[in-house]
Amino acid sequence: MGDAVVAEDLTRKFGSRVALDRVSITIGDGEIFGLLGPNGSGKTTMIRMLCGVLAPSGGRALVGGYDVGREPEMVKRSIGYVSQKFSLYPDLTVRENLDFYSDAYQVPSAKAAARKKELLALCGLDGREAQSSGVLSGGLKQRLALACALIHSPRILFLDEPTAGVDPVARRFLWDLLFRLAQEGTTLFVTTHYMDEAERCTQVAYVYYGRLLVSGDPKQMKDQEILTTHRRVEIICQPLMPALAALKDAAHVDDVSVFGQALHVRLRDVPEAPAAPDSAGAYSVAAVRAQVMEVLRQRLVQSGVEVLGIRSVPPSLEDIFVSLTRQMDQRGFL
Amino acid sequence: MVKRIIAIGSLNSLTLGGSTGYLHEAPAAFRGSPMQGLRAVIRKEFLHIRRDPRLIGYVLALPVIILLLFGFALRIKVDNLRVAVWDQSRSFFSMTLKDRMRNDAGMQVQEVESAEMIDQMLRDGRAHLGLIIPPDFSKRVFDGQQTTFQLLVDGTMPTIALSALYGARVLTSPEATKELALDDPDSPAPPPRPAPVKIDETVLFNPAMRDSDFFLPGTIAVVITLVSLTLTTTGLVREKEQQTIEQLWATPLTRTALLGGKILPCGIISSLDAALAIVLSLAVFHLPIHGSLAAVICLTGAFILALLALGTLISAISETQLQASFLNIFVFVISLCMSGFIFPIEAMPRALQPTAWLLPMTYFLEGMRGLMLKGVGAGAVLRDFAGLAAAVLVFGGLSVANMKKQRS
Repeated sequence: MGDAVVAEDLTRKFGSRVALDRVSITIGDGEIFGLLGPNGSGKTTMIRMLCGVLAPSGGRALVGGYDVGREPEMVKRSIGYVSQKFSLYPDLTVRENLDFYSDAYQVPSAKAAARKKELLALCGLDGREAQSSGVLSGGLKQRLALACALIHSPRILFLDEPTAGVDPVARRFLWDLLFRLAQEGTTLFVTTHYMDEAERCTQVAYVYYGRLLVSGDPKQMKDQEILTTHRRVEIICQPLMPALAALKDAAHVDDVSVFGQALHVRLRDVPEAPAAPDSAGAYSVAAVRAQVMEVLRQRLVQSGVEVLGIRSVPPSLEDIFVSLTRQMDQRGFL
Repeated sequence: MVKRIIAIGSLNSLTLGGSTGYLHEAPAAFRGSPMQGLRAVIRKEFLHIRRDPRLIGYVLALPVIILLLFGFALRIKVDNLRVAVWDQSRSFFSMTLKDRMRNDAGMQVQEVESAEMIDQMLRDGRAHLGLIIPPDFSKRVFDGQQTTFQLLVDGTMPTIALSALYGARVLTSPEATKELALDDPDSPAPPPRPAPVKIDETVLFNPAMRDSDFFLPGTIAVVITLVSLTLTTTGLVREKEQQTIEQLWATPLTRTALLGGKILPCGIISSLDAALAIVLSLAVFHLPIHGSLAAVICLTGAFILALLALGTLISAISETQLQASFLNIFVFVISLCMSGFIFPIEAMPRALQPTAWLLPMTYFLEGMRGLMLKGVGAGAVLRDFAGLAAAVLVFGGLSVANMKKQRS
C-alpha cells in the first residue's frame, strides 16, 4: 500500500495568473486531510487537479497510485468527488440521482440495490427517495451529494467545501459521517473555511493565494508553536472592558478579545534577542515571554484593573495561520 | 512531522516512484458493464425531457404548426394579379381579350382612362400589370396586321413580375390568336399563316406546378432541423454553463456514454417529429411519393443523423447556451435561404453555388424532391446519401475530438 495522495510541485496557471504555485503534500491511507485558505487561494483548483478534471500546468500528483496528468481516467475510478455546487440534478428525484451515479460508476446491479439502501440510511435520506432533489434543504442536498459520491465505495473521497452555507446541526451530522468513513478506512480530502473543522483533521494545510504556507498534524503544529513562539496569553481580570481598552494599544499586543470571563491576548512576535537575561543569566524565549506578561500585568494594574491570573495558553490553528500570513506579508512575499 | 514551507523553495523529500496503485485489488465497482454508463445518461436525458412539460409541448406542437402554416401559406405563383387596362379600342376584340385575362389567367381587370392612371396604380401597388390597347386594334385585326400592346409590369418583386408576364401570355396564346383571326371571304387579307414554330409544352413531375409540392420537402427539413439542433445543444451546454459538467467528468463515464446518451434521445424525438411531418404532408396536402417510401425513410434518417452531429459539434464548441443559440440560428437561417428551400440554387451566382453544397439540408432536399416528385430510384440519390454521411463523419469526428474530460 502506498500513500493515498502525493503531490509534488503541483502548479496551475490560468493565463498569466498563478492559481497554485508548486504545492507538495503527502496524504496517507485513512487520513483526514483539511485544506484551508481564503477564497481564491487555489483550494478548488487543487481538488480539481487531484480529481483529474483539470490538467496541471506543472509538477505531478499521484492519487490512488495513478498520475492525474497521464492517467486521469484511472484516478476517477477510485475516487469520489463532491464538488462545491453539489451537482445534483434538481429535476430528478433523490432516487433517480442515486440511480444515475450508481450506473455511472458501473456498480453491478446485484450489489446496487443493497448499496443504495445502505447509503440512504447512512445519510438520513430514507423515506425521501421520491422527493425532487431540487426542493431539498441545503443540508439534505449535501448528504445526497455525498451518497452519490460514495455509491461505488471509493477509497479516497474529495469534498470541496461541503459545509459552506450549511447550518451547524447539519455540519455536525456531516462530520460524524465523515469520521465514520475515515474509521472504515476511507481517505478524506476536505477543503474548508472553518477552523474548528480543521482542528479535527489528522493533517491540515494552509494555502494562501496559491502558496502552501504550512502543512502537518494540527496538534504537533500547536505544540511546536508553543515551543517556539508561545504567543497566546489568557488574563483573568476585572473589570473586563476597561482592561480591554487598556491593552488594545499596548506594546507587544497584536490583538486582544474577550473570552468568557477572561481576556485572550495574542502577542506580537517576540524579538529574537531577549531584552534582558533571566535570573540564571540565560536568554530564553520563555523568559522573554514572562517579561512581556509582567509588562502587561503592570499596565493593567496601573489602569485600575484587578488581575486575578495570567498565563499562556495553547494557540489555536487560526493563530498559527494568521501569524504565518503576517510573516509572509512582512517579508514581502505577497 | 510539521513542514514549514515559508521559503519559496523546493521540497525534494518526496519520492513518487515507489507508490503502487490500489487497483490491483479492484474495488467492488467496475464489475458492472460499460454500457451502464450509456444507459444512465440516456435515462437521465429522458427524465429531464419528461419533467419539462412545456418542452414536450413545443416539440410536438410547433412542428405541426410549421407544417400546416407553410403548407398552406407558402406560394410562389401569385394568383390574383391585378391588371389596369386602358382600352382605347373598345371593340369586340378587346372585350374578348379582357375576358380571356379574367377567365383564363384569373386576373382582376380594372379599366382606366389614361397612361398616367396606369402609372399611378402601378406605383400604389393597386395594379401589378398595366396594359394599353391602341385605338386602331380592331381595324388592324380586320386588316390582318399585328398590333403591339404596351405591357407594363411592376418589377419590384421579380416573382410577381414573372407571374405577371406568364399570365400575359394568354394574350398571344394560340386560342386567342384563333379567336382573333377572321374567316371572311370578302376580306382582302389572306388567311394568316401559321407561325413557323409551335411549342408543345408539357410540364413534367409537377404539372400543376403546385407550390406545396415544392415547399413541403423543405418544410419537413425545417421541422427536423429546428427540433434536432435545439434539443442537442441544450443538454451538454447547460451543464457546461452551470459547471456541473466537472462532476460528470470526475466519474468513469466515457465520452461515448456522455455524447451518445445525449444524442440518442434527441434522435428518437427528431424521428418522431419527422414521421409526424411526413404523415401530415401525405394526409393533409396529398404530397405524392412517386419513388420508394423506404428510400425516403432512409434519407430522412440520414438527415437526422447529420443534424445531430452538427448540433453536437455546436454544443461541443460553445461555452454558454447563448453562444449555442446564436450558432443554431445562424445554421438555421443559412439553411433556409441557401439550400434551395425557397430560392433555387441555380439562381445563385456560379461562384457561390458550392456553398449550398456545404449544408446538409441541400442534400436532403435534392434527394427528397427526386424521390417524391420525380420518382427516381434509390441509386439516383446516392450522391445525397454520401453528402449526408460525410456530414455525420466530419461533424461527429470534430465533436469527439473536441470533447475532453479534463480542462486543459
